[in-house]
Amino acid sequence: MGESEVAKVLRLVFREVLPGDRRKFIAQSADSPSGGGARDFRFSPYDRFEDVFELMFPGRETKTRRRNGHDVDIEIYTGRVSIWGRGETLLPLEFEPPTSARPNEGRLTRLNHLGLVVPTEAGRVLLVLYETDDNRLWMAFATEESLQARQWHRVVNDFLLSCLERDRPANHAAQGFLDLVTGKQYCKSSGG
Amino acid sequence: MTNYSQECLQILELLKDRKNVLMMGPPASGKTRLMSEVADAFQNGFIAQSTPKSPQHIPDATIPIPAQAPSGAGTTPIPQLPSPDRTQRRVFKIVFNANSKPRDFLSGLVPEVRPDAASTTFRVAEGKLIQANKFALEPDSAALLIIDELNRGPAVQLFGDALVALEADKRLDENNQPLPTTWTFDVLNQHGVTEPMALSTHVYVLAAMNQADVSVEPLDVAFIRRWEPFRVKPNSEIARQLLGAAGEDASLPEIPTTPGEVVEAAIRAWIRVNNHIETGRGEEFQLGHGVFLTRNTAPPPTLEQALDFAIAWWNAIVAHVDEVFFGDVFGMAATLRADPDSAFYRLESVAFGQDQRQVLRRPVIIDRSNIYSLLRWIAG
Repeated sequence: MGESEVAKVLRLVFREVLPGDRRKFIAQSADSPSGGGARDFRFSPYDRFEDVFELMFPGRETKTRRRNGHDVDIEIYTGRVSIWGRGETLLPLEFEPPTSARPNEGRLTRLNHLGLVVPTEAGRVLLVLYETDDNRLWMAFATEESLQARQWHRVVNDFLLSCLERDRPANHAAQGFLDLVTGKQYCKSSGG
Repeated sequence: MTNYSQECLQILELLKDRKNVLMMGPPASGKTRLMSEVADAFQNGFIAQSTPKSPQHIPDATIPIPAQAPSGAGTTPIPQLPSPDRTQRRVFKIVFNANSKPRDFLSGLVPEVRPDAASTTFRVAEGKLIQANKFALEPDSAALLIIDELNRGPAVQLFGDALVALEADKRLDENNQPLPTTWTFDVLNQHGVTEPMALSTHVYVLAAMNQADVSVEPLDVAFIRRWEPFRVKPNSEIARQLLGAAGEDASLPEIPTTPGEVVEAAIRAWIRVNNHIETGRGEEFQLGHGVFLTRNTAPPPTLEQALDFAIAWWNAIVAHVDEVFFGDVFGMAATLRADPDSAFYRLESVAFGQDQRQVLRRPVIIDRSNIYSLLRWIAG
């Protein structure tokens, strides 16, 4: 894979990193009885996000998971992602459909394997996953300060900032997607 | 052309040449605003920027999907920009205070309380200077560290032996390789072991302080000489322009007819007060033009509103005079132009037991009816 070049952004998905999420990125959060899912990043409602994740992840893989005490085969979405600011290295990334315990949440799994460093200043932080027209996936953080300073492209900046600033309970993460090809977008607010 | 102020460009140029700049000035003279402007220019100081029509991933930008294409995408850095060829640019900020510790600035151990652990553990904390330096040591990267209220914390202690390494000629070379003159200092690594570190030539430090503030610790000559000084002074023209003052050449009538005349009277009174403060206490104790900009940064639309603003401005100015000349009634009286014939401020001698004491009498009330006359009197 050669050096990445300027590429058009096709679509993006984002979710706010709440203070309690930070440990997900450093492999310290599997100490809760909730199990391995504590290292996942959840998107809900699943039916709103399913289409955009389906478009972004090129691969499909069948994996066996424990559901209600039984082994079941589920299809997960797979892809490879580069981390913004860390060069061209491609890392595996998976998106899994809901579990029986959380029937309407899709999950980006095992983020702690990516070695991401969450910004600790500059306000609230969004994890942004985006796809470019050279068939690449990128992951980056958008800070509240950078959005307020309007450092992102106007279309992306307006969407992320307006979604971040919507009213929602303190423990609810801002999340949504913006598809620049189809024009579809979604921002989860307190109303769901 | 850029939209950055002349002061901002001067500071960038000093940073480029000397690496460390110490901004000094009276309170409310715009230091914090200027630091924010320098921070913006450091990150985005490119001209002929173009805005992509649709969102684009631009590899060399400072933001993944940036508002504007950076230098690598056909733009030019402003001439004063430090490390102009480096496209990964980041600003780090810290405010010193009496409780600042070396671990906040360099490195150190901090207790880590974990409810599930039997005992308290420790982890190594990386301070702002180390964070900024590590960023600048990365390829194609440059960092600006902003330190506000430098003398409100134990600055000499916080810098420790990094002070020598701070000097421009004690840094690493352009490619972050050691030179014979490179100076190292000790930091704790993540395993709690000290290891030497040298500062990148691409890490810049901009500090600000108000000399009138009482320092937590004295800043000695050895510390001060590591910095290129930049003095920020009160600027009456900024206040005049923003607030629509009548101008320094206008003659002020006995009764004001326009808001601009009231604003002008307030600015002239403030200038006169600052002149007295400079004589009586020193220029670092003056009050900056920010005193006029805390409530509004647009011209007052009516005469009444201008008079109300003027009352608030004057109260703030007098509060500053009280603070600066605390315990010095003669200094206060001279600054407020106390005069036996004045209807505003008078110095009276009153009996105090067997003694005579000087007391500054002030106007019983300051309102729309007398504020303009008071300001004209003070302005002389």
